Amino acid sequence: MPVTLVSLDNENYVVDKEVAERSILIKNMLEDVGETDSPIPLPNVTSTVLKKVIEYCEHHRNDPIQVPDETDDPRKRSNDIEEWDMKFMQVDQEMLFEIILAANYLDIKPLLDVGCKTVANIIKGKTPEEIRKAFNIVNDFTPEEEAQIRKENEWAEDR
Amino acid sequence: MLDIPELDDMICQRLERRQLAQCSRVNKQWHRIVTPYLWRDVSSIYGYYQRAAFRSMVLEDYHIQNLQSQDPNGNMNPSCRLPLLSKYSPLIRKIPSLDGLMEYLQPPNKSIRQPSQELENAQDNGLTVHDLYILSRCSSKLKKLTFRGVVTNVEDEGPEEDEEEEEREPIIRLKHKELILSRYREWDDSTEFWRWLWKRCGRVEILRVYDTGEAVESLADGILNNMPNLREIHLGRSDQYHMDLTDGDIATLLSSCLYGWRVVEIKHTANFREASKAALFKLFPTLEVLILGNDDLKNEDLVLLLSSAPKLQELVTLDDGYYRHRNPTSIRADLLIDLDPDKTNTLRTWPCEESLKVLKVVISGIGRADLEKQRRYEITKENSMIMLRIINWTA
Repeated sequence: MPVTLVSLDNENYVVDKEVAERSILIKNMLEDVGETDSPIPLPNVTSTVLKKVIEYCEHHRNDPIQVPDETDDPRKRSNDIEEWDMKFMQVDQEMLFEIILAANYLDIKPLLDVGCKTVANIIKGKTPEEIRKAFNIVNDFTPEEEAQIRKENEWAEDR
Repeated sequence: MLDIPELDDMICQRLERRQLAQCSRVNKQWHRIVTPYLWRDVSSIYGYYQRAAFRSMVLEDYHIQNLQSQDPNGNMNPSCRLPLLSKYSPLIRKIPSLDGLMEYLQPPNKSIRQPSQELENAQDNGLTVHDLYILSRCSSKLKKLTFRGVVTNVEDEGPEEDEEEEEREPIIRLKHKELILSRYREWDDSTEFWRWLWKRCGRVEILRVYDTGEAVESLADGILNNMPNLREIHLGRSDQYHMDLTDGDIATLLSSCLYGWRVVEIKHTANFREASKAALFKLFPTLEVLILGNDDLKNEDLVLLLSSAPKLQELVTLDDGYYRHRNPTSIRADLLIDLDPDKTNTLRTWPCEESLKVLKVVISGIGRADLEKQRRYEITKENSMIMLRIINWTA
């Protein structure tokens, strides 16, 4: 049975219930209201982002539900991303952050994980300047401030 | 970074220290978000250059601190920057073990000359009060501080302590609840150190002393004078690597608690003999839990304990860990029944009958036709009354 999702900019998307329920938020909403034909408004998600999210949910519709393992040391967790997800995440940084925010709002843990992994992977091996470039960030430090932080972090820096 | 704590947390937790260091230089927002993650764990610093940097940071801090404390007016020397550890210490949650820390502090190659002034208080002489001071400055919210196998000046083992420190006041006071002493030795001028340490143990509630050490006397003094909350003591340890506590040590420690111990555990490695026994007997009025891994208490002693410790909740003379190697103290059933002086075949009530929850002892001498003589039974019961019923039944 299909479900209609409505984005912030009033675009309607009809998806299978199974696909929509990848989002725990939507799953809970559907459980609360029971069988319904009325569309579900998602006022925090724009249509471009929602389209991406639905694409992800379609692809992963048959995945087993993840059981979160809180005891895991996140630093030891692998940052490996499967190939489809990697391609899926090849978007500009603005879109990347939008997807993460949407995944957080819609409560889609695997997508959130993939998003955060992607950000971490982008940061890896980059200098501060390269990170700024990758994320369109303006450096608001004075040269003195940056030198000071560099000195404070000496013990943690690569050399 | 997104500036949403939960999401930034997910990202930062995936980054290694050197990546975090890069991130903290990106811009002010990133610096604010990343810094707590960067400083959270200062253990496991590898690499000569990184260790040297950490060392000079700690020593420089210490040096600044010294300069400031020498100024009688307490004015900040204007040439001094804010000590880094003061600035970031509230973020630190995990520090290196003391071995590790000493490695950071010592030049890996002694032939490399260090500025002498900076190394004055962190020579390879091992832990000093000043080093501890540096350590205790590391965090105001340190959850656990572990000291292990400190090398002291005469190639001797130093103190090992697990300390939980919750917060720090201007005068350092360790707010740990559990203190563990192991392989602790006296060394030159250590008397002062121990006294210094005990004074900061006012919050200690549980004491574990694994083996003998020359500081036992000093410790007993410390317990009596500086640790009013301490009511639980564990003596000895069931592994091979510790020097056994002597009878005298045990007696000294058992006698040192001003309000009387509530929980006493004596492992089989501790030499529980006459002096200890005498000290233990004096504790009966306050004793709530007694765990003995030792077979030197005779069954008369256990009967005496049951009949004269009004607060006793738990009596265990069987330690599952090494039961098969030892013959635990057993209570002879007839002696228990003898609690009834008039032989009326009803038991006199025990003072601890109301409070007793766990009785895990070997009872011997219960005749049962279907079993061979002199079999031992392990009895763990919710309530002593159940055991009493068994005895009544067999009697």
